Order: sequence, then structure tokens, then C-alpha cells
Amino acid sequence: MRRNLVLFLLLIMTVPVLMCCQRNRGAEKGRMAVVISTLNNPWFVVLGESAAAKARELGYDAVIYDSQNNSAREAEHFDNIIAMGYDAILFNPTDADGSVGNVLRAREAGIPTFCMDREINSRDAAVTQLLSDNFTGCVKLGQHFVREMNQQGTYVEILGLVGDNNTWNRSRGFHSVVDEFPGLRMVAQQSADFDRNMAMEVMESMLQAHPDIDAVFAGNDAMALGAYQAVLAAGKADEVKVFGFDGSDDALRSIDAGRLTATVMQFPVMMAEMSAVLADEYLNGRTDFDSRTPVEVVLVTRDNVSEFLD
Amino acid sequence: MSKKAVNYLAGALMVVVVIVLSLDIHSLDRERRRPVSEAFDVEEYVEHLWENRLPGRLEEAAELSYLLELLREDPDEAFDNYSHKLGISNTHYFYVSGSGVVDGIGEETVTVTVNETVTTEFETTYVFGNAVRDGSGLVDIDEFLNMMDFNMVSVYLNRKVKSEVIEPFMEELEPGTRVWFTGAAEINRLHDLPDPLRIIPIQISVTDGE
Repeated sequence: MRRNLVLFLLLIMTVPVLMCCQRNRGAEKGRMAVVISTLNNPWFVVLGESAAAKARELGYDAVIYDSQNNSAREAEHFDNIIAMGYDAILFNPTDADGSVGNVLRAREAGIPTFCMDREINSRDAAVTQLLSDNFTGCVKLGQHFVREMNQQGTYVEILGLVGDNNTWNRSRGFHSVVDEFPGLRMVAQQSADFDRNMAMEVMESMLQAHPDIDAVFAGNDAMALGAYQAVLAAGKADEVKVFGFDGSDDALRSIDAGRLTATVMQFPVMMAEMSAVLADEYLNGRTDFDSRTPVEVVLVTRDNVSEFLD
Repeated sequence: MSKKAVNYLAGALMVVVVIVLSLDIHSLDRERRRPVSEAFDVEEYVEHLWENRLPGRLEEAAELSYLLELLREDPDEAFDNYSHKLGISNTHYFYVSGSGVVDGIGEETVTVTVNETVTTEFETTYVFGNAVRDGSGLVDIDEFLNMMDFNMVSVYLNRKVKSEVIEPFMEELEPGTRVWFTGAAEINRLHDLPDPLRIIPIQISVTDGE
């Protein structure tokens, strides 16, 4: 009985080692961890899976970690990644300030981090950060908004996650244009955490308080589509113009069908794949990286949406 | 009420007070108005750029007629030698100069004919974007803590252009006025060359009688 117990314990202890070896045999060049802020949002699923797929294509073993928009969970992932000795981290942070410490710990452990899409407030913690130029995208969207509104009217804004730099880059880019036109007046501003259902609820209450608005600016397409649902249910779809950001397939189809007015197209697949390529180049000796590499975004309206539809 | 209940109530009240005092609660509006990192003085940065570094760069601007001809005949040379771009992008920014005659004044633009052959438009209403900042090639993204600080440089530069260049210029403007200018233009490498090319003017002087 005692001998069986010892054998059983030995077996239990050996399995992880075997699994580890098995996994390393599949990876010719090493391992990359892909840490994503949340896999509840399809946009980030595309980001994470594209990064992992490219890393595998380049010869690395790749594992995706979901931080569930929780910085404590993200810190746990970094602890595990450092303990397991990964070669590089492709990272989509949960918090611009709170995530800096995780990246610094990885750097101290000799593991380079490459940020994707979401920014951390540091010049040198990560090797580089590939970021959609959200601010400039919303400057373009803001100009289209002003023209669509003929420089006058009232509108509401639905913000994304308040702790995320992208939320404020989008909002401030938009306001850097729209606030220059005194005929345009924002009557309400509220966060809906980039979530479609929450945006629908927020929009319902905004419409009760401000039934005569002319437009909605939402910080991403999911919220724009949720807001549009509420506008439609209130029978105001012909009166209220809805603007989003991301360039999701649903939003493009909605623009093409004459429902949403405009969005801004981001390129998550390109950003994710490029991050894996840059990590590979770094591991092969490249050292000259800019602290940030902005990725251009494109305004999509009814005039050019056909260029982006499959 | 028993003494025990009062103690519990006082304890609970103290816990609530401690929690409330430990929170940093501020409004979305305050967050929206906070322009940049607290350590970064964007106005000072832009003022220094405008006064000390930009004038030298403006002297190197390509002559507009020459540049447009080069863009048609040898676009690679024009983009490679006369433009700047940021990160992964097809949008390039140029600094251009020229002299011409004001043809018309519209709601958003002023139309100018350069060398009696090329028509261009000065942006007068939608003075936004990164053409002035990135066309200069002087502002390095690595200098900034985050994208917000970097982008606020464009915002403040554009405001300066509007208040110190465009608005005074509009006051002395009428069709037939002869002007000399330097400005910034953006061109997408994948698209056809815009005709007329729109320019954000950075320097304008009326040259009638000279």
C-alpha cells in the first residue's frame, strides 16, 4: 500500500514535467505568453488569437492568458509567466498605470514585453507598444461628426472603461474638434465599460432625460450598436445619428444598411501579428525599437464602407 | 437602543468615514478636462517649438508647384525625400511653400492660385490633425510619456496656427490679394493625389505692392 502510494506520488510529480517537455518539443524557438485584458469582448479575442497564431507560425509555443479586466488576475499571470521562464510576452494591459509594475517585473526577470492596442504609461518598461492612434482617429471622426451635424445640435457621449487610456484618447480626440464649434452641445456623458448591453441601458436612461438629442458618440462599436438599439426602440432612429469606433463587422454592416453613421477602423490582426514579429526580431538580436509605434486608423462612413465589407 | 448597538453603529460609521476619506473620487468631467500628464507642460513645449525650432524647418519647405510635379512624375522620390510619417501608416505629411493670388473665400477654405497654374486651398475652419506636428519632423514620439501628451502637441500647435496665422490673415483678405505662404499638407500614398491639395497655412504674408 505504502509502495503504491509512493509510486502514485511520483507519477503525479512526473506528469507536469512530461507535459512541459512535450510542449517544448512543439516549440522550435521558445515560448511566448499572450496576455489579454479580456476575452469577453470578441475584438480582444481576435487580438489574442492573431498574436498567438503568428507566434506559432514563427516557431514559438504560445499560450493565451485572460486577465478578465482584473489587474490582480493580470499580476498573477505575470507571476506564473516569470516563474515558467517564457521568452517574451505579447501584452494587452488592463490598466495604463497599474500594469506598468507587471511589465517592469518581467523586464527584471529578463522577459521582454510588447504591448498591443492598449497603452501603459511608461517610456521604457516595454520594448515597444503597438497602438492604434485612437486620438487621431477620433479627430477624424469629430470632423465628420461636425459636418454631419452642420455644426449644431445636442449630443450625448458614452465612454468606455474609465481607467483605460484608449477611452480618454478617443474622448479627448473627439472633443479637441467638436468643442471648437459652440453650436454643438454635449448634454450627458456616462461610462458603459465598452459593453453593448450596458450601453443600451445607459442610452435608455439618457433618452428619458434628454429626449431631443441629435446624436450619440460612443467610444466603441459595441456600445454604439447598443445605443442604436435603444434609439430604435424609442422610435428615434431617423432623428439620432450614432457614431462608433473599432470597425467591427457588425458596425460596418450597420453603416452599410444606413443605421450607424460612422466608425473608425482599427486593425487588430495587423497589430497582433506585428507584435509577434517584433518580439521574434528582438529575440534574434534587434535592439532599435521606438517606445511606441502608432498604427493608423481609418474613418469609415457610408461613402467608403464598401471598401471594408467582405 | 442598547449600549452594544450604539457601539456597533459608531464602529460602522467610523469604517464608512475611513473608506470615504481613503477614496479619490472625481467627476468624469474633471477627468475629461485634465489635458496631459501633470509633469508635461504642453503650452511651454509648443511655444518653444514654435519660436525656436519651427522657423528653421519652414525655410526647408518644398516649393508647391515643384513638389506636385514630382509627386506626379516620381512619387517615390517625392515621398522619400520630402515627407514624414508616423508609425505604421500610409498618410505622409509635407511642408510646402509658394506665392500666389487669392481666388475665392469659402466657408471652410480660401482658394489660392500659385504660379498662375496650380490651385490650392488653405484650411481655415477645420484646422485639425497632425500635419503641422508631423510634417515638421521635429517632434519625436519617444520624448513623451504617453500618446495623449504627444497628441496634445498637435492640438496646441493647431490652435496657435488658427489664432496667430489664419484669423489675422482672414481680416486682410479679399480676392486678388497676393500672398506668400508656408504650410503643411497630408497625402495618402495609396490614394490619388488630391486636387486641389489642401494646406494648413503656418506662415502667410500679404505681398501686394512688393
